[in-house]
Amino acid sequence: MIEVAGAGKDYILNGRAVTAFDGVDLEVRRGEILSVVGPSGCGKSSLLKAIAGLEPLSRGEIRFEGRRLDGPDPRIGVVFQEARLLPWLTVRENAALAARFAAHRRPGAAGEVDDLLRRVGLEAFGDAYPSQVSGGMAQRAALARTLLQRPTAILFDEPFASLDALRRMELQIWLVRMLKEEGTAALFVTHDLDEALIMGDRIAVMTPRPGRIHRIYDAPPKDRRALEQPETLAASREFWELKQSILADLRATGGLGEAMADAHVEP
Amino acid sequence: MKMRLSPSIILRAGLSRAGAPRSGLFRTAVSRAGEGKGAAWAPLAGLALALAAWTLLTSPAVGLNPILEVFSPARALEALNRVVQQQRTWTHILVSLRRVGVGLAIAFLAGVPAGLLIGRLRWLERASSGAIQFVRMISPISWMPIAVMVLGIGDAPIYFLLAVSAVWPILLSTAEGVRRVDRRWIEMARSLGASSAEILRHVVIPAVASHVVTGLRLGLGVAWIVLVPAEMLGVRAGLGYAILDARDRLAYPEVMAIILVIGFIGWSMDALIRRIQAQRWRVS
Repeated sequence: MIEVAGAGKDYILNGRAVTAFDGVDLEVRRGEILSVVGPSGCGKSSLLKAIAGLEPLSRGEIRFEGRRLDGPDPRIGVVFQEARLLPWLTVRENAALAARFAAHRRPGAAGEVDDLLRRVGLEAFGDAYPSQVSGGMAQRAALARTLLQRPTAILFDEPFASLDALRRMELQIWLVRMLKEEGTAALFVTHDLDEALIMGDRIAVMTPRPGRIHRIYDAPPKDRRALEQPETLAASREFWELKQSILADLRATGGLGEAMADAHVEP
Repeated sequence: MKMRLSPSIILRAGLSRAGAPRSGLFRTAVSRAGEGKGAAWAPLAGLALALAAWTLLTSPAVGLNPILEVFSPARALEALNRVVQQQRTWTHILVSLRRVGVGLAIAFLAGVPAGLLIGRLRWLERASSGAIQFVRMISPISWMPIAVMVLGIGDAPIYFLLAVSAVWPILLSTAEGVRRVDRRWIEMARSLGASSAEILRHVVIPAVASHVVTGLRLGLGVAWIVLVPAEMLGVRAGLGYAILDARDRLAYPEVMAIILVIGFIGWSMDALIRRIQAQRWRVS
């Protein structure tokens, strides 16, 4: 569905050329969730922005459903680290924002918003302003805004990074279920190894800057029961072994120590 | 939002009422928050104080200057009661309001697009900032002789002077608003497939609107101040003219009454814009 081939990105920082990521080959398959994990500053977010068409690549190419991407594609949604709700609009108006743009204007789009707000559990908060809702609610409103695009793939850039651990786990499980029900593909960038394992069908491990894909792991299959009890999933032997393998990879590539301080959890 | 601390909270926090300074320049946050009840009376107390000072300065008992007695509050309020019942006063008010409205509209139409461009284009900001800072420091009244020479006598030079006074706050505030637009909102809109024109319409302009209103408010304040001297030049109506007219008729209490009218209208317009601003952008 999304294919990244030989992708590299350079930028200028304080007058010096810096390579954010290089030689990245990656594929997000139809309906799968691909977690991308790596230390801070390894170019994960830059890679996501390149796939979203928000930053041009310096090398290589990105293809979506066989066609080369040269800018934002309306079928690819993005959920950023911050909700980025417009403060002068209500939650409902924010969720309906895409319908104001020609790329997503269609009859009945505005009517879909209430249904979307119900799906993300915000039906009672449609008239609230962003400053009046919690961080988790704001992120769900941002997701509703993205879903109005009817995307076939969604790119997530550490969307739960600013939330507390309890709320984060709740939203992770809710999101996996929703994506699976919709059959929507997702690229989920995170620096939290547990999150990468709970969310992903596969986990791509990146090296420190310039980021490259070091290895891609298959995550343990998540059935409905496992998702209903994520604490059981996180405590399973398979989960723990995979986590140790990824930690060993990160240690070997020099990516540990910069991040993942919270990843040393015994089963 | 003002925070109010109950006595029990103050005590639980280990602070005593006796320990918090009651007065003085350097007060703690606790003592300021605890003074919420008195805040409602503060404007009235300020007005009463101003009225007392006015009475004192114009009182023959103080003896600053005997002529000041004709400007006393009692005489002024008596004249005000008479003046507001005269049709010509309302004509003066409407003429002045129309002039300010036209002047402000011209300033808005020139200042907002220029501010949008200057805020957006770094090179234009660099090229124009020196000239803008130079011109805006010139008192608008200085342009009066040139305005009369070029535009003649009548409303036109007044519109020009009011527009010149109001354009700078509108322009600078708009440009500042554009510079403060969160780039992440623009990135978000691009990710939703918005075109440049759609980003301008749905993100940039609403984000800048609050700054434009602030500029309008400041511009209105300056224009209202410039209006009175501008209307003292070759026109036969308006509040500035009304002051000169009252002076020529030696109706000094009426001069003070019209000054009160000017102050009240200016204060009302400012309060109205502040109220609209507070309601419309209460959440941003």
